Amino acid sequence: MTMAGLAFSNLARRAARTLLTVLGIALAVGTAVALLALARGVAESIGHGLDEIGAEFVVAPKNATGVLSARLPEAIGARIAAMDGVEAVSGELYAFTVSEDQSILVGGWSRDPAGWSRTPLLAGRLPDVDRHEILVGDILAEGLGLAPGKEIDLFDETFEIVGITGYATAMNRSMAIMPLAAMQEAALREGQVSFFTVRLKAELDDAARARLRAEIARDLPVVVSDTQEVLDHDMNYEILEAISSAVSLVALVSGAVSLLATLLISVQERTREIGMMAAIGWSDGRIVALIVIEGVLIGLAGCTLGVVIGVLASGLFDSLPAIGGFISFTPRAADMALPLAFALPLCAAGAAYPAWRAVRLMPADALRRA
Amino acid sequence: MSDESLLSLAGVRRAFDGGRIVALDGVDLAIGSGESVALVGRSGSGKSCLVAIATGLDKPDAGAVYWRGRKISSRREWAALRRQSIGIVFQEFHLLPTLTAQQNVELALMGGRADQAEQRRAAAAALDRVGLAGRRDNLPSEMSGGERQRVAIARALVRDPLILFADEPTGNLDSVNAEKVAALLLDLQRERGVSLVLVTHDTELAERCHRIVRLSDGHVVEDRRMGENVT
Ligand SMILES: Nc1ncnc2c1ncn2[C@@H]1O[C@H](COP(=O)(O)OP(=O)(O)OP(=O)(O)O)[C@@H](O)[C@H]1O
Ligand SMILES: [Mg+2]
Repeated sequence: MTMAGLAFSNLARRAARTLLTVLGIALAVGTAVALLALARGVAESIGHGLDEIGAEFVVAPKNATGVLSARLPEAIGARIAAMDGVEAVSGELYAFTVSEDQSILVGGWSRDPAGWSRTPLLAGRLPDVDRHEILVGDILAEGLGLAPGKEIDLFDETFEIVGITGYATAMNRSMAIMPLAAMQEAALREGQVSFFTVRLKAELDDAARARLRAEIARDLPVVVSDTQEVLDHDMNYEILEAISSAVSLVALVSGAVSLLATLLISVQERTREIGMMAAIGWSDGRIVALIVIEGVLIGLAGCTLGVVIGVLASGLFDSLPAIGGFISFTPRAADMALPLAFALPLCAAGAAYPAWRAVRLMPADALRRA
Repeated sequence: MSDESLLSLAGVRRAFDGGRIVALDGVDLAIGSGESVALVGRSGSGKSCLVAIATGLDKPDAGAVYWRGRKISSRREWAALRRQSIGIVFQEFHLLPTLTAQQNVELALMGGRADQAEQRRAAAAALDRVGLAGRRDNLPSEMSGGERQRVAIARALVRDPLILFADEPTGNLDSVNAEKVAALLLDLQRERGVSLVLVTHDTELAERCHRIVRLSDGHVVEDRRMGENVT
């Protein structure tokens, strides 16, 4: 018989208790996997969304609390556009607003005709920059029953829908886009943008890009990010990350505590058996190893089930009312590695105390226990 | 203590309840190689306590235990000694309920040098020797008390110990099974030349041993070889 076989047989004796403990750990690991994946999903979705609308650099104000709440004077755009290597600059103003009880992300763009012409249209045409005309993403259109020729009320103003966009990312498919001037007027943000998206000349090499990036940041009160780093400067995102990490850690520790409680009871119940094992020549080290193996078996089962739960839960992000439209999530090994890297050592730690309790008594005392 | 003795106790004292109950009070006792010793005495005279201390399951408050003249004190040394040289059988059988007879015996071999196949072979041979060849795959709950005690004996013997302690091994058995188990222990002792310390209340059984040691109130009050007169 092997140690693992014996440990398994000990766990099987109290199958219900073992399974409940496994479930407790699984829920903890599942929570951690899902929350950390959610945070990453948000960051990546925004990054991909920006890539898709043709941004290469995002120029945002220094010291802003969040990407969407940031404000920069539109006039800075001309100074960025004048720099060597810049192909085009678009001042972009974004805000959430509510229409028909649905929260909608609205963007206002000051693109040049070449920039507008990259917009993928499923139906209709591009908006006229001087009029209250708007494009809506296909998911948004479907959800609200919108089509070219219909109207939509945003920021207490009425806009005519002239086209449906066919983007690929969840964020863009749910977004409404209008010319910057109309957006500034509707959102009461005259002369302001949230950030600039910058398209670079195609011939720039990596070194030239880095130089340009440094130059923009040096001359202006701004931070320049790649699309994937945009949220690094977003305080809301940092809060989301911090809460996700804290809740994950609490969940994992509570999983380890439930393992500790289970093993403690199991060791107490088996006091006499453990005395017997000492009597037939088991060393303290071997008895400790047996209990720790029991803990690690429960931990492994819990982690495996937890990853499955976490990935399945992440798949449901799409249907979350507040954020479902804006993020999409594909599980990745890294989402699981971090929780597991914490969970397994925590399980071993949770087993250590019961194991110590198991060998603390003199075997004669252990054998006499009821 | 003489040098031929396998295991000896010198000046062993053990008290409980802050000294109010003195279970062993200055016990000197040497067990020779290959002898069978019956340990007798009234209930509460200290027999189980002596077995626990002689096997390192408990620690004396004063005095010491020697194995072949060497003092044994650490938990680690005692565990190694029990693994290699000392077998113990209790009144309760202390079998793991979810393991078969075969697996219960293998428990004593785990962590040793024997690989899985050797473990299986040795455990099967031990069960064979105690007359349970056909019951290897039975759980303890499927066996009689006498059979369970024989599994416990197989488990104690499977590592070929030099000394076997049995603390009232027949105490939970009916007379037929008690006789079978007693005969088995005495046979094994003769056959393998292993030392046997047998705690019993059965005078007749005690007299089948080479030597009878009587405890009373924590003292050795009689130590007699069979065929000698009462001292
Ligand atoms: N853990 C303990 N705590 C308190 N007293 C104890 C403990 N162990 C043994 N004793 C006491 O020590 C004395 C000797 O006990 P021991 O178990 O050795 O007797 P015994 O000779 O084996 O008796 P029996 O024939 O009934 O098994 C008894 O008075 C007993 O009550
Ligand atoms: Mg006793």
